[in-house]
Amino acid sequence: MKKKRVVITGMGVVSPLGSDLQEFWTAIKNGQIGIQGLTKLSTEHYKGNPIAAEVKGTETLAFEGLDQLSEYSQAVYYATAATKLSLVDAGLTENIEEDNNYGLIIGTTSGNQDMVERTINNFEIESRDDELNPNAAEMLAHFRPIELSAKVASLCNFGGTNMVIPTACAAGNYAFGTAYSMIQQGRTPVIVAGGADPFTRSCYTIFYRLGAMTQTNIQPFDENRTGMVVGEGAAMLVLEELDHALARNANIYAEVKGYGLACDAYHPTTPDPDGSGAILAMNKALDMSQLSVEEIDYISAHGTGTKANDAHEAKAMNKVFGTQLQNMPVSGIKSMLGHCMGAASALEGVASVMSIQDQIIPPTMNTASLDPTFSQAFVVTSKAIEDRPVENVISNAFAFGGNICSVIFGKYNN
Amino acid sequence: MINNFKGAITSIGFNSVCGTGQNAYYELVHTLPSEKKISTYDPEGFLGTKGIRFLNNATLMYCNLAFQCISNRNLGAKIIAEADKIGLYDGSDLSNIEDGFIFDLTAKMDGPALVSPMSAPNTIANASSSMMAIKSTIKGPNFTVCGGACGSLQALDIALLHLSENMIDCAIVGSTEITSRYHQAVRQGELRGEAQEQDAPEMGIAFSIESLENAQKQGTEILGTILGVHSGQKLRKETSEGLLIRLCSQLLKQTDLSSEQLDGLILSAGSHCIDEVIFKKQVNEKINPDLAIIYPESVHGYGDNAGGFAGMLFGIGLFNQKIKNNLPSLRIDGTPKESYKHLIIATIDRTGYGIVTLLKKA
Repeated sequence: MKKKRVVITGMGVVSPLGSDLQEFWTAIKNGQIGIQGLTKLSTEHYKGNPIAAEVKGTETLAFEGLDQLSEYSQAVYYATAATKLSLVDAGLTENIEEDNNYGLIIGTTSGNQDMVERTINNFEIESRDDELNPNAAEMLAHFRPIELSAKVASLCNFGGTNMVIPTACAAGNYAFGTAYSMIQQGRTPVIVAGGADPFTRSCYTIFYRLGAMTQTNIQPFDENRTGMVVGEGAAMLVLEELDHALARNANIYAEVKGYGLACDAYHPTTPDPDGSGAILAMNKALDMSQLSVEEIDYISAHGTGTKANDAHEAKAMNKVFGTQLQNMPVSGIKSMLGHCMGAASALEGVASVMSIQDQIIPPTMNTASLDPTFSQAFVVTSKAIEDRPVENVISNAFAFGGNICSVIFGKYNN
Repeated sequence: MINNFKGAITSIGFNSVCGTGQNAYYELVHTLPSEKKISTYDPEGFLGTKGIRFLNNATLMYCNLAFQCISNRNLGAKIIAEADKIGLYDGSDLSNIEDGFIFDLTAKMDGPALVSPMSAPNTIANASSSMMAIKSTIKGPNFTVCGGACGSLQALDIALLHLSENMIDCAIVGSTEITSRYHQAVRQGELRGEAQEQDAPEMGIAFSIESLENAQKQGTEILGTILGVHSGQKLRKETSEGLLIRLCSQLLKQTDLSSEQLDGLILSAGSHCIDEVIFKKQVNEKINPDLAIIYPESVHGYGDNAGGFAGMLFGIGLFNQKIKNNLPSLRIDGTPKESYKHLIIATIDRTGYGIVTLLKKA
């Protein structure tokens, strides 16, 4: 049986650079930075210059059901808004009226962890021995990760599969890959897939304690890079079976060509310095896509700006792309967006697709001098690149636990 | 829908208060121990001693289950030769809630400087399968999925998806059921004052799954065959009972099995989400007029996410006559068969999400 082709027909974002697709893309192209002083947590206990990439201004979003989500996690709110934005962008309605088997897949790092925080704060829990009264228990029950996808699916009236993939910072790409496979196999014609994460005290504290956060700017691949910045948000893509999209004259942004999954099997929080998982994932994505390295025009890197991540990613890219890498544009848009956790690779997916649509490769900000310890140099610029064709883009995502997924997006050619 | 792909169960891992291994499950359902908490999560010592004090109970148990599968299926050489052709899958729900709560509470009360960075990975739900990859050097897909009460079958579905695409040759799929005061609070909160059913004891189940074709070629012992999986969310005008009927009907159609060939339906997680009288009526009207519905939660309690796998183990027990219909406290709605060949295992979550799988006797 011939496998079905999968295209992208809609996108929605809720990000530190806005919650309108065009506004987001314009900001990325222009190198606008969405990182500011931390406001969603008291800065008292975080030494130095605590900064964050926070989502603001979502109150202007007006979709049915958003006002009913106050008891749920912020991630549910972000995911609902991004899903509905993507459906409208795809020319579908925000509520699917007819019977359907549309699916919904959401990747995340923290999931609904903010419900833990809310329970602790609202019920003034001070020690692990404090009793959780029935009201606290009811609030804590919204921690259940399944709520993130099932609530959104219910609000959009999707009748197909839905799930939450908590594979941390690679989760958005996991969602794209899973949706791609399911549509390819004819399970459903439409899956809305992406990632969502709330801003949480726990997440901010994790990276603070690991010493992974910068006090200044994110400088992907720079020799003087000092770390990442915690962010939040959501991005959802409408993945659609090609014939289904053509039958309804949908606008096709790009095609999903393939993906690769692998695991470093090295350390819970540190990437394998040899890049073993990243190499496997990129090679598997190329194999599935039936593309050679010469056919990749741009790498949307994970590029967190931490010493360990960027070094292992550079090593892996060198191994996979060989001399091809020397002339390869590589972007690290976390320099603008911060690291939006489970939403990060989903947001990078949106930027990758837009780069194919507009034939513009986004810039990387704050990188003054590429790390000379890398095996070979590659193209990192602070200006968008507009004079090169963009047919195929590989987007990398790496996570705690060595969970890795690379996805290849390509120009749709009929 | 997995395009005629069939999965073979080639080994089983089990862990509970009754011990480890498949027979411990049969002991559990026959003896119904009052103890809920496991005292040692890795009695075989698969994980060694180095660094394990930082691992949470779900991770210890998941790794033990996965190592049981590796040992029973003799996968050691395969891991060395093709580490990327084995995948690890975890059907999770609340595996990280205790760690997440204590981490956040410490950050708030004692300040961020006093939280342990070593405990950070445990706050993310992918900790268990990631640690198993490190301990076993398995480099294939490492996939945690949260599907509430449907978590274990959801992980199975993803594993079958990857097997059917030849992404891997073997999947180790596990799901753990852990208890803590935070787990209990979530369950209480979910019930919102409804009567509390008997909680499941701590329990973990894992299977190694391969393509049936490959397993047969290799002459591997097959413990059960998975003919298909189907899942969906309750539509706005649909009831929970209606959702399960839709999923079961589509599963039968997808697998080309007639409803007459079906010997029973095991609802092994989320039975509190349906009206059993309405469900029985609809099953008999729309699927098979003589089909009996089996509720193993009446035997091993009401859990979070491992229920689907508990149902599969229960089904394998019925296939092999290790479990009989007259099991004390087992609730069966309808007239059960004396022997079983095809069983649907169904789970449904309170959020309106359901998943069903069709299991065939080996």
